[in-house]
Amino acid sequence: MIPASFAILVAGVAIGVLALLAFMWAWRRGEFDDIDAQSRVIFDARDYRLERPWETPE
Amino acid sequence: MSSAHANVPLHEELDIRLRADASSSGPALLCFTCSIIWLLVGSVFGDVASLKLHFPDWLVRQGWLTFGRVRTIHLNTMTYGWASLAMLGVSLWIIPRLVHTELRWPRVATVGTIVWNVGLVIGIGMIIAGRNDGLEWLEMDRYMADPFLVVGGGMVGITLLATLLAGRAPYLYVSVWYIMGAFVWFPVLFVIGNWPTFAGVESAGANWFYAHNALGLWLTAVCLGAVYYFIPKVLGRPIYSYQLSLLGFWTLAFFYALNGMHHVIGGPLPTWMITTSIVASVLMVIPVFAVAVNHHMTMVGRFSALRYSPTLRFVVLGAIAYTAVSLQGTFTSLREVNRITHFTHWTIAHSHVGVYWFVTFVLFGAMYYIMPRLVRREWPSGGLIRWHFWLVLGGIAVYVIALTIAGVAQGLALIDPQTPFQQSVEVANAGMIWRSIAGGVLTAGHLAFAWHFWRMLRLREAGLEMPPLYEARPVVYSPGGDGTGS
Repeated sequence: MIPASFAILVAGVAIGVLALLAFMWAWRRGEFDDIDAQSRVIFDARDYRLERPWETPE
Repeated sequence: MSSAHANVPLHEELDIRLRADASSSGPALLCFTCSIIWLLVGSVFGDVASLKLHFPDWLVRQGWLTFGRVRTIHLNTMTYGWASLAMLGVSLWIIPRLVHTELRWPRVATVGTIVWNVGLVIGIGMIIAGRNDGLEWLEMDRYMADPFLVVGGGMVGITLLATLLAGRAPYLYVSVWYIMGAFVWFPVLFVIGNWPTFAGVESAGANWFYAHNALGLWLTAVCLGAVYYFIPKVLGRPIYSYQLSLLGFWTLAFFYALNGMHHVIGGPLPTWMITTSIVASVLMVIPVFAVAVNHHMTMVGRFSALRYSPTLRFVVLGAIAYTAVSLQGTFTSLREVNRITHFTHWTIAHSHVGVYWFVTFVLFGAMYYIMPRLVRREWPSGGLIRWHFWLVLGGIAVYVIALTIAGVAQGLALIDPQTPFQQSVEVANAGMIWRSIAGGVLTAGHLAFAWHFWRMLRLREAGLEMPPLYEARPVVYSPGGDGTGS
Protein backbone atom coordinates (compact mmCIF):
# COMPACT_ATOMS: atom_id res chain seq x y z
CA MET A 1 0.00 0.00 0.00
CA ILE A 2 1.39 3.39 -0.94
CA PRO A 3 0.91 6.02 1.79
CA ALA A 4 -1.07 9.08 0.75
CA SER A 5 1.79 11.28 1.99
CA PHE A 6 3.97 9.70 -0.69
CA ALA A 7 2.61 12.49 -2.88
CA ILE A 8 4.83 14.98 -1.04
CA LEU A 9 7.94 12.99 -1.81
CA VAL A 10 6.88 12.76 -5.45
CA ALA A 11 6.44 16.54 -5.50
CA GLY A 12 9.89 17.01 -4.01
CA VAL A 13 11.48 14.68 -6.55
CA ALA A 14 9.54 16.32 -9.38
CA ILE A 15 10.99 19.69 -8.46
CA GLY A 16 14.45 18.15 -8.59
CA VAL A 17 13.74 16.59 -11.99
CA LEU A 18 12.53 19.96 -13.25
CA ALA A 19 15.85 21.40 -12.15
CA LEU A 20 17.69 18.62 -13.99
CA LEU A 21 15.82 19.38 -17.19
CA ALA A 22 16.62 23.07 -16.82
CA PHE A 23 20.27 22.19 -16.29
CA MET A 24 20.36 20.11 -19.46
CA TRP A 25 18.68 22.93 -21.40
CA ALA A 26 21.25 25.39 -20.11
CA TRP A 27 24.07 23.06 -21.10
CA ARG A 28 22.79 22.67 -24.63
CA ARG A 29 22.22 26.42 -24.92
CA GLY A 30 25.91 26.96 -24.23
CA GLU A 31 25.45 28.61 -20.85
CA PHE A 32 28.57 26.87 -19.52
CA ASP A 33 30.83 27.50 -22.52
CA ASP A 34 32.57 30.66 -21.35
CA ILE A 35 32.48 30.83 -17.58
CA ASP A 36 34.86 33.76 -17.37
CA ALA A 37 32.76 35.92 -19.65
CA GLN A 38 29.65 35.03 -17.67
CA SER A 39 31.17 36.25 -14.44
CA ARG A 40 31.83 39.66 -16.03
CA VAL A 41 28.46 40.17 -17.72
CA ILE A 42 27.28 42.40 -14.84
CA PHE A 43 30.05 44.93 -15.45
CA ASP A 44 30.42 47.58 -18.08
CA ALA A 45 33.64 49.27 -19.11
CA ARG A 46 33.03 52.16 -16.71
CA ASP A 47 33.05 49.81 -13.72
CA TYR A 48 36.64 48.89 -14.55
CA ARG A 49 37.74 52.50 -14.84
CA LEU A 50 36.77 53.64 -11.36
CA GLU A 51 39.39 53.58 -8.65
CA ARG A 52 37.96 52.34 -5.42
CA PRO A 53 39.47 53.34 -2.05
CA TRP A 54 39.53 49.80 -0.75
CA GLU A 55 41.73 48.60 -3.59
CA THR A 56 45.37 48.34 -2.66
CA PRO A 57 47.55 50.16 -5.22
CA GLU A 58 49.85 47.78 -7.03
CA MET B 1 40.76 37.23 -20.98
CA SER B 2 37.43 37.50 -22.70
CA SER B 3 34.85 40.13 -22.00
CA ALA B 4 31.14 40.13 -22.55
CA HIS B 5 31.33 43.80 -23.53
CA ALA B 6 34.35 43.91 -25.83
CA ASN B 7 32.34 45.06 -28.84
CA VAL B 8 29.75 47.33 -27.16
CA PRO B 9 30.58 51.03 -26.87
CA LEU B 10 30.38 52.44 -23.36
CA HIS B 11 27.65 54.92 -24.16
CA GLU B 12 25.46 52.10 -25.46
CA GLU B 13 26.04 50.06 -22.33
CA LEU B 14 25.05 52.98 -20.14
CA ASP B 15 22.04 53.69 -22.31
CA ILE B 16 20.86 50.09 -21.92
CA ARG B 17 21.29 50.33 -18.18
CA LEU B 18 19.50 53.68 -17.90
CA ARG B 19 16.58 52.47 -19.97
CA ALA B 20 16.35 49.27 -17.95
CA ASP B 21 16.29 51.27 -14.71
CA ALA B 22 13.71 53.71 -16.04
CA SER B 23 11.41 50.93 -17.22
CA SER B 24 11.36 49.19 -13.85
CA SER B 25 11.27 52.28 -11.62
CA GLY B 26 7.47 52.50 -11.30
CA PRO B 27 6.66 48.96 -10.21
CA ALA B 28 9.89 48.61 -8.20
CA LEU B 29 9.20 51.80 -6.24
CA LEU B 30 5.65 50.66 -5.56
CA CYS B 31 6.93 47.32 -4.27
CA PHE B 32 9.50 48.99 -2.01
CA THR B 33 7.03 51.52 -0.62
CA CYS B 34 4.45 48.85 0.19
CA SER B 35 7.09 46.56 1.65
CA ILE B 36 8.28 49.20 4.09
CA ILE B 37 4.73 49.87 5.24
CA TRP B 38 4.28 46.17 5.92
CA LEU B 39 7.67 46.10 7.67
CA LEU B 40 6.43 48.69 10.16
CA VAL B 41 3.09 46.93 10.65
CA GLY B 42 4.81 43.59 11.16
CA SER B 43 7.31 45.11 13.57
CA VAL B 44 4.57 46.48 15.80
CA PHE B 45 2.72 43.17 15.87
CA GLY B 46 5.98 41.35 16.56
CA ASP B 47 6.73 43.62 19.51
CA VAL B 48 3.23 43.09 20.93
CA ALA B 49 3.53 39.30 20.54
CA SER B 50 6.91 39.31 22.26
CA LEU B 51 5.67 41.41 25.20
CA LYS B 52 2.76 39.06 25.70
CA LEU B 53 5.13 36.18 26.39
CA HIS B 54 6.27 37.76 29.65
CA PHE B 55 3.20 39.95 30.28
CA PRO B 56 0.58 37.28 29.59
CA ASP B 57 -2.31 39.32 31.05
CA TRP B 58 -1.67 42.31 28.78
CA LEU B 59 -4.20 43.05 26.01
CA VAL B 60 -6.30 39.95 26.53
CA ARG B 61 -9.78 41.46 26.46
CA GLN B 62 -9.98 41.82 22.68
CA GLY B 63 -9.86 38.68 20.60
CA TRP B 64 -7.84 40.25 17.82
CA LEU B 65 -5.09 41.16 20.28
CA THR B 66 -4.58 37.66 21.63
CA PHE B 67 -1.21 36.03 21.05
CA GLY B 68 -2.49 33.50 18.55
CA ARG B 69 -3.62 36.21 16.15
CA VAL B 70 -0.95 38.82 16.86
CA ARG B 71 1.95 36.44 16.30
CA THR B 72 0.32 35.07 13.15
CA ILE B 73 -0.16 38.58 11.78
CA HIS B 74 3.51 39.32 12.48
CA LEU B 75 4.66 36.23 10.59
CA ASN B 76 2.45 36.82 7.56
CA THR B 77 3.10 40.55 7.25
CA MET B 78 6.85 40.01 7.50
CA THR B 79 6.94 37.10 5.04
CA TYR B 80 4.38 38.11 2.44
CA GLY B 81 4.32 41.85 3.08
CA TRP B 82 7.84 43.00 3.80
CA ALA B 83 10.10 40.24 2.43
CA SER B 84 8.12 39.09 -0.58
CA LEU B 85 7.20 42.58 -1.80
CA ALA B 86 10.76 43.84 -1.38
CA MET B 87 11.95 40.78 -3.30
CA LEU B 88 9.48 41.51 -6.07
CA GLY B 89 10.90 45.01 -6.29
CA VAL B 90 14.50 43.78 -6.33
CA SER B 91 13.65 41.23 -9.02
CA LEU B 92 11.87 43.80 -11.18
CA TRP B 93 14.96 46.02 -11.06
CA ILE B 94 17.70 43.39 -11.38
CA ILE B 95 16.34 41.22 -14.20
CA PRO B 96 16.10 44.00 -16.83
CA ARG B 97 19.65 45.05 -15.94
CA LEU B 98 21.00 41.53 -16.20
CA VAL B 99 19.33 40.68 -19.50
CA HIS B 100 20.16 44.11 -20.96
CA THR B 101 16.68 45.16 -21.94
CA GLU B 102 13.78 47.17 -20.64
CA LEU B 103 11.19 45.63 -18.36
CA ARG B 104 8.33 44.33 -20.46
CA TRP B 105 4.74 45.17 -19.47
CA PRO B 106 5.58 47.30 -16.40
CA ARG B 107 1.90 48.16 -15.92
CA VAL B 108 1.12 44.47 -15.53
CA ALA B 109 3.75 44.30 -12.81
CA THR B 110 2.26 47.38 -11.12
CA VAL B 111 -1.24 45.90 -11.18
CA GLY B 112 0.15 42.59 -9.94
CA THR B 113 1.74 44.35 -6.99
CA ILE B 114 -1.55 46.04 -6.14
CA VAL B 115 -3.40 42.71 -6.39
CA TRP B 116 -0.81 41.12 -4.07
CA ASN B 117 -1.39 43.88 -1.53
CA VAL B 118 -5.17 43.43 -1.78
CA GLY B 119 -4.73 39.76 -0.97
CA LEU B 120 -2.56 40.63 2.00
CA VAL B 121 -5.06 43.10 3.38
CA ILE B 122 -7.85 40.54 3.04
CA GLY B 123 -5.76 37.78 4.57
CA ILE B 124 -4.52 39.84 7.50
CA GLY B 125 -8.00 41.24 8.05
CA MET B 126 -9.43 37.74 8.22
CA ILE B 127 -6.76 36.65 10.71
CA ILE B 128 -7.66 39.66 12.86
CA ALA B 129 -11.28 38.54 12.65
CA GLY B 130 -10.29 35.06 13.78
CA ARG B 131 -10.28 33.24 10.42
CA ASN B 132 -7.12 31.16 10.15
CA ASP B 133 -6.36 28.18 7.91
CA GLY B 134 -4.40 26.60 10.74
CA LEU B 135 -1.27 25.92 8.66
CA GLU B 136 2.06 27.45 9.59
CA TRP B 137 3.10 30.10 7.03
CA LEU B 138 -0.26 29.55 5.26
CA GLU B 139 -2.65 31.04 7.76
CA MET B 140 -4.26 33.44 5.32
CA ASP B 141 -7.54 32.16 3.94
CA ARG B 142 -6.88 29.93 0.95
CA TYR B 143 -10.12 30.83 -0.82
CA MET B 144 -10.47 34.54 -0.07
CA ALA B 145 -6.91 35.86 0.22
CA ASP B 146 -4.46 33.42 -1.36
CA PRO B 147 -5.88 33.63 -4.91
CA PHE B 148 -4.96 37.33 -4.94
CA LEU B 149 -1.37 36.42 -4.06
CA VAL B 150 -1.27 33.79 -6.77
CA VAL B 151 -2.68 36.17 -9.40
CA GLY B 152 -0.59 39.14 -8.29
CA GLY B 153 2.63 37.18 -8.03
CA GLY B 154 1.87 35.51 -11.33
CA MET B 155 1.47 38.87 -13.04
CA VAL B 156 4.86 40.00 -11.80
CA GLY B 157 6.38 36.66 -12.80
CA ILE B 158 4.97 36.92 -16.30
CA THR B 159 6.51 40.34 -16.83
CA LEU B 160 9.86 38.99 -15.70
CA LEU B 161 9.54 36.01 -18.00
CA ALA B 162 8.65 38.25 -20.94
CA THR B 163 11.65 40.45 -20.13
CA LEU B 164 13.91 37.40 -19.92
CA LEU B 165 12.73 36.12 -23.30
CA ALA B 166 13.34 39.53 -24.87
CA GLY B 167 16.77 39.83 -23.28
CA ARG B 168 19.91 40.59 -25.23
CA ALA B 169 22.59 39.58 -22.75
CA PRO B 170 25.08 37.07 -24.10
CA TYR B 171 24.75 34.90 -20.99
CA LEU B 172 22.35 34.39 -18.11
CA TYR B 173 24.21 35.49 -15.02
CA VAL B 174 23.77 33.24 -11.99
CA SER B 175 21.46 35.80 -10.34
CA VAL B 176 19.02 35.36 -13.22
CA TRP B 177 18.93 31.63 -12.55
CA TYR B 178 18.27 32.13 -8.85
CA ILE B 179 15.56 34.75 -9.32
CA MET B 180 13.73 33.11 -12.21
CA GLY B 181 13.99 29.76 -10.46
CA ALA B 182 12.28 31.30 -7.45
CA PHE B 183 9.42 32.57 -9.64
CA VAL B 184 8.95 29.05 -11.04
CA TRP B 185 9.20 27.27 -7.68
CA PHE B 186 7.07 29.55 -5.52
CA PRO B 187 3.72 29.18 -7.36
CA VAL B 188 4.15 25.39 -7.40
CA LEU B 189 4.90 25.31 -3.68
CA PHE B 190 2.09 27.71 -2.82
CA VAL B 191 -0.51 25.66 -4.65
CA ILE B 192 0.69 22.37 -3.14
CA GLY B 193 0.82 23.86 0.35
CA ASN B 194 -2.72 25.18 0.06
CA TRP B 195 -4.15 22.06 -1.58
CA PRO B 196 -7.38 21.42 0.36
CA THR B 197 -7.51 17.63 0.22
CA PHE B 198 -4.60 17.04 2.63
CA ALA B 199 -5.79 16.24 6.14
CA GLY B 200 -4.38 15.06 9.44
CA VAL B 201 -0.77 13.95 9.42
CA GLU B 202 -0.57 14.33 5.64
CA SER B 203 -1.50 17.94 6.10
CA ALA B 204 1.47 18.39 8.43
CA GLY B 205 3.75 16.88 5.82
CA ALA B 206 2.36 19.09 3.06
CA ASN B 207 2.51 22.13 5.36
CA TRP B 208 6.20 21.75 6.09
CA PHE B 209 6.96 20.78 2.50
CA TYR B 210 5.64 24.22 1.64
CA ALA B 211 7.03 26.18 4.58
CA HIS B 212 10.59 25.00 4.34
CA ASN B 213 10.71 25.26 0.59
CA ALA B 214 9.25 28.75 0.77
CA LEU B 215 12.33 29.58 2.82
CA GLY B 216 14.82 27.92 0.51
CA LEU B 217 13.31 28.19 -2.96
CA TRP B 218 11.65 31.58 -2.62
CA LEU B 219 13.21 33.77 0.07
CA THR B 220 16.72 32.29 -0.15
CA ALA B 221 16.79 32.00 -3.93
CA VAL B 222 15.93 35.63 -4.64
CA CYS B 223 18.23 36.91 -1.91
CA LEU B 224 21.17 34.77 -3.02
CA GLY B 225 20.60 36.10 -6.51
CA ALA B 226 20.82 39.60 -5.07
CA VAL B 227 23.99 38.80 -3.10
CA TYR B 228 25.68 37.40 -6.22
CA TYR B 229 24.93 40.66 -7.99
CA PHE B 230 25.67 43.27 -5.33
CA ILE B 231 28.92 41.98 -3.84
CA PRO B 232 30.88 41.86 -7.11
CA LYS B 233 29.11 44.93 -8.47
CA VAL B 234 30.04 47.17 -5.55
CA LEU B 235 33.56 45.74 -5.27
CA GLY B 236 34.12 46.05 -9.00
CA ARG B 237 35.50 42.53 -9.12
CA PRO B 238 33.91 39.35 -10.50
CA ILE B 239 32.77 36.66 -8.14
CA TYR B 240 35.70 34.52 -6.95
CA SER B 241 34.64 31.33 -8.73
CA TYR B 242 31.78 31.37 -11.17
CA GLN B 243 31.98 27.59 -11.39
CA LEU B 244 31.27 27.42 -7.66
CA SER B 245 28.30 29.73 -8.06
CA LEU B 246 26.81 27.39 -10.64
CA LEU B 247 27.48 24.40 -8.39
CA GLY B 248 25.72 26.22 -5.56
CA PHE B 249 22.65 27.01 -7.61
CA TRP B 250 22.18 23.63 -9.25
CA THR B 251 22.71 21.61 -6.07
CA LEU B 252 20.20 23.88 -4.31
CA ALA B 253 17.77 23.18 -7.14
CA PHE B 254 18.32 19.42 -6.98
CA PHE B 255 18.36 18.82 -3.22
CA TYR B 256 16.40 21.52 -1.46
CA ALA B 257 12.85 20.32 -2.13
CA LEU B 258 13.32 17.17 -0.04
CA ASN B 259 14.28 19.05 3.15
CA GLY B 260 10.88 19.92 4.51
CA MET B 261 10.15 16.86 6.66
CA HIS B 262 12.97 17.72 9.05
CA HIS B 263 10.47 20.04 10.70
CA VAL B 264 8.44 17.04 11.88
CA ILE B 265 11.22 14.85 13.19
CA GLY B 266 9.71 12.66 15.87
CA GLY B 267 6.23 13.13 14.46
CA PRO B 268 3.89 10.39 13.20
CA LEU B 269 5.21 10.34 9.66
CA PRO B 270 6.97 7.43 7.98
CA THR B 271 10.56 7.13 9.18
CA TRP B 272 11.87 6.86 5.63
CA MET B 273 10.35 10.23 4.76
CA ILE B 274 11.99 11.92 7.72
CA THR B 275 15.29 10.19 7.09
CA THR B 276 15.15 11.36 3.46
CA SER B 277 14.77 14.92 4.69
CA ILE B 278 17.69 14.54 7.09
CA VAL B 279 19.90 13.22 4.30
CA ALA B 280 18.80 16.07 2.02
CA SER B 281 19.52 18.52 4.84
CA VAL B 282 23.06 17.19 5.19
CA LEU B 283 23.54 17.31 1.41
CA MET B 284 22.71 20.99 1.60
CA VAL B 285 26.21 21.47 2.99
CA ILE B 286 27.40 21.34 -0.63
CA PRO B 287 25.57 24.42 -1.94
CA VAL B 288 25.99 26.24 1.36
CA PHE B 289 29.77 25.82 1.36
CA ALA B 290 29.94 26.68 -2.33
CA VAL B 291 28.15 29.94 -1.64
CA ALA B 292 30.10 30.68 1.55
CA VAL B 293 33.51 30.09 -0.04
CA ASN B 294 32.55 32.14 -3.04
CA HIS B 295 31.34 35.13 -1.09
CA HIS B 296 34.20 35.06 1.39
CA MET B 297 36.94 34.71 -1.19
CA THR B 298 35.40 37.50 -3.26
CA MET B 299 35.55 39.73 -0.21
CA VAL B 300 39.01 38.71 1.00
CA GLY B 301 41.32 41.72 0.97
CA ARG B 302 38.39 44.08 0.47
CA PHE B 303 36.50 43.99 3.75
CA SER B 304 37.47 47.63 4.20
CA ALA B 305 34.83 48.33 1.58
CA LEU B 306 32.25 47.86 4.31
CA ARG B 307 33.29 51.28 5.66
CA TYR B 308 32.15 52.92 2.47
CA SER B 309 29.15 51.02 1.22
CA PRO B 310 25.85 50.59 3.10
CA THR B 311 24.91 48.03 0.49
CA LEU B 312 27.95 45.92 1.24
CA ARG B 313 27.49 46.24 5.00
CA PHE B 314 24.05 44.74 4.87
CA VAL B 315 24.60 42.28 2.02
CA VAL B 316 27.86 40.84 3.36
CA LEU B 317 26.47 40.40 6.87
CA GLY B 318 23.38 38.86 5.36
CA ALA B 319 25.48 36.45 3.32
CA ILE B 320 27.39 35.44 6.46
CA ALA B 321 24.06 34.85 8.19
CA TYR B 322 22.98 32.65 5.29
CA THR B 323 25.92 30.36 5.88
CA ALA B 324 25.29 30.36 9.62
CA VAL B 325 21.59 29.61 9.41
CA SER B 326 22.07 26.89 6.80
CA LEU B 327 24.72 25.07 8.83
CA GLN B 328 22.59 25.56 11.92
CA GLY B 329 19.68 23.99 10.07
CA THR B 330 21.75 21.00 9.02
CA PHE B 331 22.96 20.57 12.57
CA THR B 332 19.44 20.92 13.99
CA SER B 333 18.04 18.30 11.61
CA LEU B 334 20.11 15.58 13.29
CA ARG B 335 17.85 13.59 15.60
CA GLU B 336 20.07 13.86 18.67
CA VAL B 337 20.15 17.65 18.42
CA ASN B 338 16.53 17.94 17.41
CA ARG B 339 15.32 16.17 20.54
CA ILE B 340 16.58 19.15 22.53
CA THR B 341 15.77 22.04 20.19
CA HIS B 342 12.40 21.03 18.80
CA PHE B 343 9.41 22.98 20.17
CA THR B 344 11.70 25.53 21.83
CA HIS B 345 12.72 29.13 21.33
CA TRP B 346 15.84 27.85 19.54
CA THR B 347 13.65 27.40 16.47
CA ILE B 348 12.51 31.01 16.67
CA ALA B 349 16.09 32.20 16.95
CA HIS B 350 17.01 30.04 13.97
CA SER B 351 14.14 31.33 11.87
CA HIS B 352 15.06 34.93 12.63
CA VAL B 353 18.69 34.35 11.64
CA GLY B 354 17.28 33.22 8.32
CA VAL B 355 14.38 35.54 7.61
CA TYR B 356 15.85 38.59 9.34
CA TRP B 357 19.62 38.44 9.50
CA PHE B 358 19.92 36.92 6.04
CA VAL B 359 16.83 37.87 4.00
CA THR B 360 16.00 41.24 5.54
CA PHE B 361 19.61 42.42 5.70
CA VAL B 362 20.13 41.53 2.03
CA LEU B 363 16.93 43.38 1.11
CA PHE B 364 18.02 46.45 3.08
CA GLY B 365 21.35 46.40 1.26
CA ALA B 366 19.66 45.96 -2.09
CA MET B 367 17.35 48.90 -1.47
CA TYR B 368 20.25 51.12 -0.47
CA TYR B 369 21.79 50.39 -3.86
CA ILE B 370 18.69 50.45 -6.01
CA MET B 371 16.81 53.47 -4.69
CA PRO B 372 19.30 56.15 -5.85
CA ARG B 373 19.19 54.59 -9.30
CA LEU B 374 15.42 54.68 -9.41
CA VAL B 375 14.84 58.21 -8.15
CA ARG B 376 18.03 59.68 -9.67
CA ARG B 377 19.31 61.22 -6.44
CA GLU B 378 21.37 60.05 -3.49
CA TRP B 379 20.13 59.14 -0.01
CA PRO B 380 19.81 62.35 2.04
CA SER B 381 21.50 61.33 5.28
CA GLY B 382 24.55 59.24 6.11
CA GLY B 383 23.63 59.53 9.78
CA LEU B 384 20.29 57.80 9.32
CA ILE B 385 21.99 54.98 7.46
CA ARG B 386 24.38 54.49 10.37
CA TRP B 387 21.53 54.59 12.90
CA HIS B 388 19.58 52.07 10.87
CA PHE B 389 22.55 49.74 10.49
CA TRP B 390 23.69 49.69 14.10
CA LEU B 391 20.19 49.48 15.53
CA VAL B 392 19.17 46.46 13.46
CA LEU B 393 22.53 44.75 13.83
CA GLY B 394 22.53 45.21 17.59
CA GLY B 395 18.89 44.22 17.83
CA ILE B 396 19.17 40.99 15.87
CA ALA B 397 22.37 39.96 17.64
CA VAL B 398 20.76 40.32 21.06
CA TYR B 399 17.62 38.64 19.77
CA VAL B 400 19.40 35.57 18.45
CA ILE B 401 21.75 35.13 21.39
CA ALA B 402 18.95 35.50 23.95
CA LEU B 403 16.58 33.08 22.25
CA THR B 404 19.28 30.52 21.50
CA ILE B 405 20.29 30.34 25.16
CA ALA B 406 16.66 30.33 26.25
CA GLY B 407 15.82 27.61 23.74
CA VAL B 408 18.58 25.27 24.86
CA ALA B 409 17.67 25.75 28.52
CA GLN B 410 14.02 25.21 27.72
CA GLY B 411 14.75 22.07 25.68
CA LEU B 412 16.92 20.51 28.36
CA ALA B 413 14.18 21.14 30.91
CA LEU B 414 11.51 19.69 28.63
CA ILE B 415 13.28 16.40 28.00
CA ASP B 416 14.06 15.86 31.69
CA PRO B 417 11.20 13.77 33.13
CA GLN B 418 12.06 14.93 36.66
CA THR B 419 11.56 18.60 35.76
CA PRO B 420 8.04 20.06 35.89
CA PHE B 421 6.84 21.82 32.76
CA GLN B 422 6.57 25.11 34.64
CA GLN B 423 10.34 25.14 35.08
CA SER B 424 10.85 25.00 31.31
CA VAL B 425 8.81 28.18 31.07
CA GLU B 426 10.63 29.93 33.90
CA VAL B 427 14.15 29.20 32.60
CA ALA B 428 13.25 30.89 29.32
CA ASN B 429 11.64 33.98 30.83
CA ALA B 430 14.81 36.07 30.83
CA GLY B 431 15.21 35.29 27.15
CA MET B 432 11.67 36.52 26.51
CA ILE B 433 12.45 39.85 28.17
CA TRP B 434 15.65 40.26 26.16
CA ARG B 435 13.71 39.40 23.01
CA SER B 436 11.27 42.23 23.67
CA ILE B 437 14.13 44.65 24.24
CA ALA B 438 15.79 43.50 21.04
CA GLY B 439 12.52 43.74 19.17
CA GLY B 440 12.11 47.32 20.27
CA VAL B 441 15.60 48.14 19.03
CA LEU B 442 14.82 46.50 15.69
CA THR B 443 11.62 48.50 15.38
CA ALA B 444 13.53 51.70 16.06
CA GLY B 445 15.89 50.77 13.23
CA HIS B 446 12.96 50.15 10.92
CA LEU B 447 11.49 53.53 11.79
CA ALA B 448 14.80 55.20 10.96
CA PHE B 449 14.90 53.41 7.62
CA ALA B 450 11.27 54.20 6.82
CA TRP B 451 11.73 57.88 7.68
CA HIS B 452 14.85 58.05 5.52
CA PHE B 453 13.00 56.35 2.65
CA TRP B 454 10.18 58.86 3.02
CA ARG B 455 12.58 61.79 2.99
CA MET B 456 14.19 60.53 -0.17
CA LEU B 457 11.03 59.69 -2.01
CA ARG B 458 8.48 62.25 -1.07
CA LEU B 459 10.28 65.22 0.36
CA ARG B 460 12.66 65.19 -2.58
CA GLU B 461 15.48 66.59 -0.51
CA ALA B 462 18.70 67.22 -2.27
CA GLY B 463 20.84 64.17 -1.89
CA LEU B 464 24.39 64.12 -0.72
CA GLU B 465 26.97 65.00 -3.35
CA MET B 466 28.48 61.55 -3.15
CA PRO B 467 27.24 58.23 -1.78
CA PRO B 468 26.63 58.79 1.94
CA LEU B 469 29.34 56.63 3.44
CA TYR B 470 31.87 57.21 0.70
CA GLU B 471 34.76 59.18 2.12
CA ALA B 472 36.89 59.42 -0.97
CA ARG B 473 35.77 60.63 -4.33
CA PRO B 474 36.45 57.96 -6.97
CA VAL B 475 39.10 58.86 -9.51
CA VAL B 476 38.68 57.88 -13.11
CA TYR B 477 41.87 56.60 -14.59
CA SER B 478 42.96 54.89 -17.74
CA PRO B 479 42.67 51.10 -17.56
CA GLY B 480 45.65 48.81 -17.77
CA GLY B 481 46.54 46.74 -20.80
CA ASP B 482 43.94 44.07 -20.21
CA GLY B 483 41.15 46.57 -19.62
CA THR B 484 40.33 45.20 -16.20
CA GLY B 485 41.38 48.26 -14.29
CA SER B 486 43.69 46.35 -11.95
